[in-house]
Amino acid sequence: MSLKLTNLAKSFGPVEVLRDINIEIEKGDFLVLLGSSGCGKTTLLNCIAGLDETSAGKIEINGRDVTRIDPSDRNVAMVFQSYALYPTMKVARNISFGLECQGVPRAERQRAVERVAGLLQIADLLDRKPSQLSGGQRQRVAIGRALVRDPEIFLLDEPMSNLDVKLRNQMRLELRELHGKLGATFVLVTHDQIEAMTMATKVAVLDGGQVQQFGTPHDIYYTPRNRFVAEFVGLNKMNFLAGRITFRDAEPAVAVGDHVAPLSHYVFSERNPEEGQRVLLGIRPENIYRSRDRLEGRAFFRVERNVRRKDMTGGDLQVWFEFEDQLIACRVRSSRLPDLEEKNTFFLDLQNASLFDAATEMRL
Amino acid sequence: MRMSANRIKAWLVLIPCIVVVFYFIWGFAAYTAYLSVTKSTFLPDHEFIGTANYRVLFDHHRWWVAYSNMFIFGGLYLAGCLALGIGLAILLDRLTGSETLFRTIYLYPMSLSLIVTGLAWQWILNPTIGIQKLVRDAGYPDFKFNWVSSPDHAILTVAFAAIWHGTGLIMILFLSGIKSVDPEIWKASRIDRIPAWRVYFNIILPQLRATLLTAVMLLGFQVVRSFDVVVALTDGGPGYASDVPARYVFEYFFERGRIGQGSAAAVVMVVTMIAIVLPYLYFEVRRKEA
Amino acid sequence: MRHYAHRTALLYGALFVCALYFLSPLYVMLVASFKTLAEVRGSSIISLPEVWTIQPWIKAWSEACSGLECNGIRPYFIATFEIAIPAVAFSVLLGALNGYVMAKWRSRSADLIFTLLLVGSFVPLQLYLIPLAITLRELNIYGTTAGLILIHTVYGIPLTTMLFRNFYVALPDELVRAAIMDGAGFFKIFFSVILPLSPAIAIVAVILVFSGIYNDFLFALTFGETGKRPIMAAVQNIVASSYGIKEYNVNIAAVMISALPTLLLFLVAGRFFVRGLTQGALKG
Repeated sequence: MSLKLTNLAKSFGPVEVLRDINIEIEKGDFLVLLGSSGCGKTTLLNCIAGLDETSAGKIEINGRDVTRIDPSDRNVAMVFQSYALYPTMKVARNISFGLECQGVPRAERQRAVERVAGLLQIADLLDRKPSQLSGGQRQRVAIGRALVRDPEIFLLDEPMSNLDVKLRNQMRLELRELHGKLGATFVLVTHDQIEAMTMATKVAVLDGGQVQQFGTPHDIYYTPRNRFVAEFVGLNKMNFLAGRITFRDAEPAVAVGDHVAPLSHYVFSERNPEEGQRVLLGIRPENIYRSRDRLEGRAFFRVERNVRRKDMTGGDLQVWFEFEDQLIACRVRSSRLPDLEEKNTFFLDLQNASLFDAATEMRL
Repeated sequence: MRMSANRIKAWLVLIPCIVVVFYFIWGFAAYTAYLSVTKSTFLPDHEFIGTANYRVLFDHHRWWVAYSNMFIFGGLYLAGCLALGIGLAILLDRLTGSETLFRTIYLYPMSLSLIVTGLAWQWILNPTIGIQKLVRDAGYPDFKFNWVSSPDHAILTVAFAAIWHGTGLIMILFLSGIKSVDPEIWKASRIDRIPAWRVYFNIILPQLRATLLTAVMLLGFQVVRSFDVVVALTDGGPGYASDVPARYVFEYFFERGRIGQGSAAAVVMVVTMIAIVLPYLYFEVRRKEA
Repeated sequence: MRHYAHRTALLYGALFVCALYFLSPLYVMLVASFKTLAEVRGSSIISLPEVWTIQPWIKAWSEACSGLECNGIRPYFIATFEIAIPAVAFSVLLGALNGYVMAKWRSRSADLIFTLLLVGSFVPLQLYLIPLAITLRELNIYGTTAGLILIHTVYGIPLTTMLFRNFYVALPDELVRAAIMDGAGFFKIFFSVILPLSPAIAIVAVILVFSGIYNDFLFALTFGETGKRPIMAAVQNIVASSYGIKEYNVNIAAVMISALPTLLLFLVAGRFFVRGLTQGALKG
């Protein structure tokens, strides 16, 4: 266990910003705290860093209780969203300032700076001031400042949000490589789900100050624990259909309008459903096809509908049709463009669909 | 935790500031208010005499001259500084080059003390060596300009000198205000064929209410504390025709040994200031919220 | 096009007339201070001198009388700097520290202190005179240089605190947080991270506080040491108390000399003046 948060809570006066946070990750994990702005993810990071005091709960780093310990004694390092480089110090001193505060001798500091500069390929920037650096270079220096202290945990607060798209992709790769090379634990805060999906070994989806789901990116994507996570994760928003459970030959099935499909493949998380239980059926747009060949199992709905709307999204096309009084989105390859109001056959593949209780919106 | 160690250091650092606030500022103000209800003369005396000092003060003709002078002076000073300052700000905004030169000329009085200001104008206005003398020597022996020594006009000369000193600040405040207004307004007004003076008076200046509030507060503050310029220019004379409360207080403290009465006058100064500022502030803040 | 030329002429005309109003006292004092006494008394002080002489300046500097002392304004000039330099140093340093605490270690009570400080800076100074006199007597520094240094440090603090606080509030909090993560303590953060960012605002503070102290009259008059009074009180006294024939040219030269330091400061560092005034004013 590298980092363990137990029943963590945090309030600013009467406002509860974090509630009952329980997360545990191993050494070498890359944890991403994912959520939209105001969900409490940065506060959680600050609590781990020790910059914000927690109101309740426990923080352990490598088995050591650090809940009431000063940030600089937690053996963690942080990369800030704005990088927060000290404007008046040259890059070299920016990186070594932490060591300076700890009273590390000059020669040793210099060696440490050189090591980090080599690792991040910023050796030729050491004599510059932060104002003379580009955005990407600043970010490297900020990472270097964290790296030099050889911490047990790296905390990164939206480190890529100030970079343009191209640079962001590149830094994402580099950060992953760095993580592999160091084998240290990383905790990264972001609102960008691509960042979360591509870099994380573990993701914690936060909303309203609570962990909505904690698991691998695969878990989060394929078995969202509730409707919020299902809707939040995924580039194209999941479709939700109101339906009910029915049993055929003791096998559960889901019915939406007149359409019924078997659920023999579906792994129910807790107890089995009841006959007539109202459910929400979540299907991602990429699991709706226009040809039977792509179906993965025998659980599907087949509908013939007119195309109501179509949106170009670069590589592929989003097509909308009406089903049970709802507009349903479907991803199709743009090489085979349907026309508006053209009748099409759609196959709604339920192999990777999710079922939620209609009332609690929790996964079945 | 070290965080709280830092907090303790933060409080330790604030100690001088706390002493200043609670002792040298509010403590002193409260003490003076207390002295105003005591029998203090040359030295502070703790015998309580209620509102006696205030009654003496309000029966004192000289106090009323000083007190009303504050309003005459204040009205002229505010009107003069605002009109001239805003006017100059607009003129400078119209200018394309040489702005720095004119701005420096209008602003440099700000760097001089009010003593220098008062003395300089006192010489120019002095009938025996200043303007009156110049015009008389030029061939008009009957020319008369002796406001500085005339009981009815002395306070006007004080306002005149103070306006000379204070206009620059108002100009610079409004100039930066005018320049901060969205430049697209000028493009829009050209398309709508709105004359420039209308853009200033109907569009830009109404957006600068906050600047106006600041300017009025600053000038008002100067009016109440005005002491130096009066001492240098007229020294309250002739007689006490151009006296002001700040000077009255000083004289009763240190020259006449009437600390109680001087304190009462100082308290009235502050109360007057609050009575004017508070409604204005309240009105402005409510406007902003509405 | 003629229309526009007409307007430009009008604009410059107006600016020029106003410039005359603002420049006239400076002009008068300059020409009068270079005239002989006979000429000042013979003609008005406004006309140009027929004979230029630097004698009044020399006399004002080293011989003019304030009361019974006739050492010119030189001793007062020096005394003012003896007061202003330490007072500026103390109040700027304390203001920077206060501003740092109030902007970066915010708490409700620190905010309250700041508000009280700000509102308090509008109290007319006359209210402080008697308690100040008592306090200085108790401390045994009444009528001394030390007393005036204390006064100017104390009453400089509201301005410097406000300037630095408003400047530091605009600095990102993450800078302080980064330094905390690096293990820097309260003072290390201030001296290594915050203070190196402050030269611009420090210059503004030094200029404003110095001019305020240099131009002060009320405290100088009340608490100045006889023979070592600060300049404004001294110059006022010289002008008001000359016996016998009023030596206008010498008096005017004395005033000119007393005006030079802040005037030169303004001409050299005018943009800092402007910045300080607009910034300081907008928050006041």
